[in-house]
Amino acid sequence: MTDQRETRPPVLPNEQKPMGAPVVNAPGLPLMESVGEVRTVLRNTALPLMAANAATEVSGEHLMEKAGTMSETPPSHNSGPQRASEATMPTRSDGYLRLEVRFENGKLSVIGAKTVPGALINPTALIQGKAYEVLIADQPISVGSLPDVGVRRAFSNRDVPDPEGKHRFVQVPTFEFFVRVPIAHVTAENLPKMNIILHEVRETPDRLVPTLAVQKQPGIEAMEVVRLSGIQLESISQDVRLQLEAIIDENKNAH
Amino acid sequence: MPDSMTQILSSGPPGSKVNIAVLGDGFADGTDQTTYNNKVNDLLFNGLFKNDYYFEDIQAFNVYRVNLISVDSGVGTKTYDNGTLLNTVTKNTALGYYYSGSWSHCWLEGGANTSTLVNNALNTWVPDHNLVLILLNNPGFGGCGGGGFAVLPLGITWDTIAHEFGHGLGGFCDEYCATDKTYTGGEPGCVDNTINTNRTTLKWGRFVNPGTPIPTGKGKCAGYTEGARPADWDDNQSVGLFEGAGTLTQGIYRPVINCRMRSNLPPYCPVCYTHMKSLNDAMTQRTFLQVYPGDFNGDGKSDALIHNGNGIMLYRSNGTQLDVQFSVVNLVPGSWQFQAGDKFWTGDFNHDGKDEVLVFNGSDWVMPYLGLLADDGSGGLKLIARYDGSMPGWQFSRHDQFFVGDFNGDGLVDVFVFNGVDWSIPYLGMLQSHGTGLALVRRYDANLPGWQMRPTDQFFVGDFNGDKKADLFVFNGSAWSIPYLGMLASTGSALSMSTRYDGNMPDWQMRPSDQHFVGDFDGDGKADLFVFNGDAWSIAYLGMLKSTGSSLTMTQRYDGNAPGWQMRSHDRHYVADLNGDGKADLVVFNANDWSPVYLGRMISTGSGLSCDWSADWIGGWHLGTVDNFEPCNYAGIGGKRNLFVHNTDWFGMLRSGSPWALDQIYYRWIHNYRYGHNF
Repeated sequence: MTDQRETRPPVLPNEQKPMGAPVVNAPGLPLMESVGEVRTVLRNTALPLMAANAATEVSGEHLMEKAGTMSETPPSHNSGPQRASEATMPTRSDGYLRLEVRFENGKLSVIGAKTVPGALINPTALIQGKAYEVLIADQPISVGSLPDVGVRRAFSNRDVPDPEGKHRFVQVPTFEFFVRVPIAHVTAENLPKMNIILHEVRETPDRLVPTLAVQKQPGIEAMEVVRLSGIQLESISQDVRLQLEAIIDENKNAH
Repeated sequence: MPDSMTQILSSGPPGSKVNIAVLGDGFADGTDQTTYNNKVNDLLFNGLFKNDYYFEDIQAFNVYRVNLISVDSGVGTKTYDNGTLLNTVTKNTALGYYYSGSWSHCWLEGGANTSTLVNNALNTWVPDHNLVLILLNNPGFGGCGGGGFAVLPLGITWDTIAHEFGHGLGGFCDEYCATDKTYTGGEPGCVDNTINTNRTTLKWGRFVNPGTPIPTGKGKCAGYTEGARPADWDDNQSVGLFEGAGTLTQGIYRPVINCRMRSNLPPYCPVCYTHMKSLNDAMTQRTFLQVYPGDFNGDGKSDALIHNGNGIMLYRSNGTQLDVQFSVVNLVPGSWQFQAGDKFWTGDFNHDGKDEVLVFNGSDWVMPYLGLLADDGSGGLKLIARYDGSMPGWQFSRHDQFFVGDFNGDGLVDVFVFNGVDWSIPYLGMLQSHGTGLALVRRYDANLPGWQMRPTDQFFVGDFNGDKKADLFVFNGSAWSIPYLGMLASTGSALSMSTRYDGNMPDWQMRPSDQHFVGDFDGDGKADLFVFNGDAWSIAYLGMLKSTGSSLTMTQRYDGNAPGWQMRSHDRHYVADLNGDGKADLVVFNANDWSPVYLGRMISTGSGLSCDWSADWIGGWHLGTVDNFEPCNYAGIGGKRNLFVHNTDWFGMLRSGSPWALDQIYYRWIHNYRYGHNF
């Protein structure tokens, strides 16, 4: 188990002594009166005393409705969905951009884009296999596993003998996958610095360090398969370009 | 009927979850859509998410069911003979798939426009997707997967999907061995196959008992061959090194004899399970911060309810460990939709020997809700009563405070509710349990007998007169010029003031920062009062005030230290019965005032306390400032001798003793490995 002491003050007194003397926490405060001699009542004279016999009738505004004879009322059994309060719309900065990336002839290219509302959570672990990473310059932005990407797999029929008794794998030379980027990072300045990396991960830790790039994760063994260095708007299709330009404009206006 | 989408599992925004999109092809309007909906339910909710890993982590997933209306019923077919296409029957369907039943053609294939149609459907109906299931209206067997897709005919069952998701989500290799060949490649790039037979570097070595031979099974698709198989060996959960994996019989090894990646139906083995848990852990958005003990099956052992956002889990105690019993996201039948602002109390509200759950939400909906959840007959919970905004005589409000106790002595736990801030005057209500719901029997507006209520009143439940009816202590240290403490006896349907202390209790000068803990420390059947003050005086004080039934007398006051414990200002106390003698003791914790962190026991002798403690480490548990404690009885041997200890990432089970003992420690999730752990 990890050391939990980081949250504690750096300098603390010594250990407990089973029969030690009382520890004086606050020398400026008095001691409580001794057992058998407790008589003094300490008063805050700015406040009133409670009445000996509280009043029974109350009137005024913003009161609950009269109670009535409650014990004869049977319990309620409401059902159906609870009623939502005013929907909290995700803020623009909560959304993310899902980029569709194609791997073809050993290269990556962006072929699609979609904005998705709501926060993006990065996974805390990766599969052994293919994974993507998005960096802006060297700063890690997002990461994700790509299980069985580039594979076409016929289900097995284990009721029959070989060969149908196992999967039939076909490696697909060209394949697509999604990478996800928080929308706040999609700016005109960042796109040329945005690197999309496809990794082949051979060994992976149980838990990633969120601030570290994949190759710098302790305990990881990963090989960079291919990298798209910078997203150049002029080199992507018009549909996607227009969409990215719209996001960039909105981000600019938001700032 | 036009195409449509229904989100049939809603765990959270798409960017924070694993999103499964389900599409159908060859389902016409009308009864076909019912067939499709039923099949989706059957595969996912009666199958996948009812079982082991997926049941446990359902909170990590969203499921979007897209209903695409095909003109024709059934998908097209292609017939092959030795690779030669003999016949094609084309149907007018939403996605244009063909079923062939030919393994070498991936059992099925798309038409010329299928890829575009699938992408259009996904882009139109689903906000985001990580996995796509496409169901074909054909009764055949087989299926084709890869790249996050699984396309299946109707002859497939949930366990096949669970296996395929092992590939599509976990990146696992197969663990079966269908081809009688020897593997000659390098180290496989997945967590569950290896060619390494060295124990010290074996990638799943942390799950292998040192007494287990490595390899454990040698030969073609081996079982346990090396020595005597231990009597408690579990083919699915005991980890070793078994030859035969990755579809081949030799030269490559798997972790267990029979994982889901070998034969679909068994749960994932510890290696696959742990990897799947790690991959999706962030998507569950779970912590161990909200823990509520309760005996939900009436076996005398405290179980645990753990709440996270829109989901809860119940873990059942077997005396020394917890196991997953119930996992639910969004809502339980009845219905109650869980939200982050839900607050829970446990107690036997219907006198069936099992604890039910009272749940209140005053913050997340258009109005406050109070619900009562009870056993659903299969170890889970269902809603048996819900009050929307109000019940006769009580209008629920955001800051309602609830206190549970059997105030009329009928054996059913009742509820006190207090609200001091949401109205122009404070209110206290007595809600009597009828077993299937609650009803207000008495409401006090502004005043209790002999007590003027104030917003800062603090209430504590305890039967201080021993009549089996839960009474109330009420304290206010800040609203008046002197502190007050009242003892309000329950008559069953009303309260009466037994004694009110103004400024002082016997041998105790009350201060605003007094902390009160109710417990029968002398075992006479009457709830007594511990009172602690660590900051109002130059030294810390702890008083033991015995209830006479109608008033209090000082049994013992400790000035600065109790025998065996030097008291400090940040001492935190919890009432328990640590030795099961029927006398209430105190657990005392201090993480702030000393160099070590202490967890102590203040054992009541009836007239005093005897203290001992453990420092810093209890077994593998490192005590820290973030720790929270829940006194309970998970061992089921009487008293409250146990603690659940928990913080964001860690959960532990502590057993009272000198020193304390750790029965279990869990990191991020509760799972009992046969050997090893996930940290």
